Amino acid sequence: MRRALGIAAVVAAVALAGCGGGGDDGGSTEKLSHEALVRRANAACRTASASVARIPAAGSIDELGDYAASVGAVGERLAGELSRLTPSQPDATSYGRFLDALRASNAQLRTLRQAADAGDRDAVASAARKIANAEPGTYAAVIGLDVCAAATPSPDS
Amino acid sequence: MPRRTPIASIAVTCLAAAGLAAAAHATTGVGTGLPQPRVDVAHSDGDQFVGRYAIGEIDRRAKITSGQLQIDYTDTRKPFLIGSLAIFGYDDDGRQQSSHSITYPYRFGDETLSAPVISQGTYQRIGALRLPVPTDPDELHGQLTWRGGTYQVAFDRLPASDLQTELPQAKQIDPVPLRLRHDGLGPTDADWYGRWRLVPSTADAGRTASIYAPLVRIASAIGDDATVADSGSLLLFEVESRTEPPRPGGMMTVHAPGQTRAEFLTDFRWDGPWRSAIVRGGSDEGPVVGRFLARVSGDRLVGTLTNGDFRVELTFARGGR
Repeated sequence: MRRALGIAAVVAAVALAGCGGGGDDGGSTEKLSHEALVRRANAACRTASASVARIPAAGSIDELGDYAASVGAVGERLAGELSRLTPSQPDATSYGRFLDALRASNAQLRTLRQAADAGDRDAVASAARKIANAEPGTYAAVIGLDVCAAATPSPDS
Repeated sequence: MPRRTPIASIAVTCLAAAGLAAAAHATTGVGTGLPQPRVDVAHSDGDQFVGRYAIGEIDRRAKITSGQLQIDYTDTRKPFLIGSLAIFGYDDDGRQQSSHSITYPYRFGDETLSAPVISQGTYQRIGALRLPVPTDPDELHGQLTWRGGTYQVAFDRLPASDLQTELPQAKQIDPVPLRLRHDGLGPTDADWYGRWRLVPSTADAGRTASIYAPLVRIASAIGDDATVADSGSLLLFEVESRTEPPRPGGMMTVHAPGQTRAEFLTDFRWDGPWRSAIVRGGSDEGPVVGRFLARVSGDRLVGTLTNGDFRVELTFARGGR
């Protein structure tokens, strides 16, 4: 699985690298310095984390589907924003792995939503474990994205 | 007629049925056909648990009459901890039952070694084992989750070389008494005063899930029907009164997915390592709504807060804001 992620990341990195550009903090096709990448990715994660923290928590499996949908919308938006950032070559592989982890989490999140809507607790727990095992926070930490790496606090009910 | 089972037969049965490639070698580890766990337990943490043990004491509600636990590192290229658990007891109808399980994969955190208990027949999770770092090298005290209940259990180390001794009958003990023997927090209440911080459990499934952490926690809690606290604190202090002697009081906050709770603790009692308090709602003079029961483990308080349907395991360490 890790190897598959790595291959996907390399492919993504090559594709991203082909987009060209050379500025430090510029538009979507410019390769970003490590500092600029960290700054912009962390800013996106900060916004996403705050959005997730404001979503009222589900208190039962009946509410979980809607909650997962709300979190999923934020996750999809974040993945989209981060995909538009072009890392410089030294960061490309690690950044690609982080994006892959986000996308894998978003895919499992859709599964979790379906399981919740079906009232299937075992499938809910399984999907939750798969999101946890995707470890987007771990991959974010590898590249120094400390805001993206931090676990978002749980909301109050 | 209690079951008397030679330890050797259990060891062989357990490890063979577990799919382990080699029989037990008490000092050299075991082989295994199981996948490498995602998390390793370092030898510096795991070695203190390695060995063969018999159940010495068990909460009588577990209906377990005897049992053996063996924990060892594998002989694989990258050794990992694995255990076998043989349990003999009886069901609700009094019929004798036996069970052979694997304890795997092990994790070490919060000064506690833990692992799911996996059925050897179905490879389904059927329980859990939690073992705090032993204070006596010949004993393990912990909790066994088994058939829907969680029970205090004590294991006694067995001689590594003796595989013929009959498995001893486990002493049946009553659950932790509802009323501990002594008033207060301990021999000297003041030793316990101050602020304690919640030690986030390594069981927090969301800790590496970035923005998905709340979802993972909530979904895990709903899916697995378990609550995990992610932050909190405990303040223990002296309550003064004009008419009564000073007594301990407590204020606990617990933040878990979907809720933040503030609990007032009164009526502290202690007995050996155990500490208990009444949980009151609204204020320290409010109605009794629950109970906090903890065990002193090193410099930590490891316990369970129950308040109606809310039940959460908590570990507190000195300090915090």
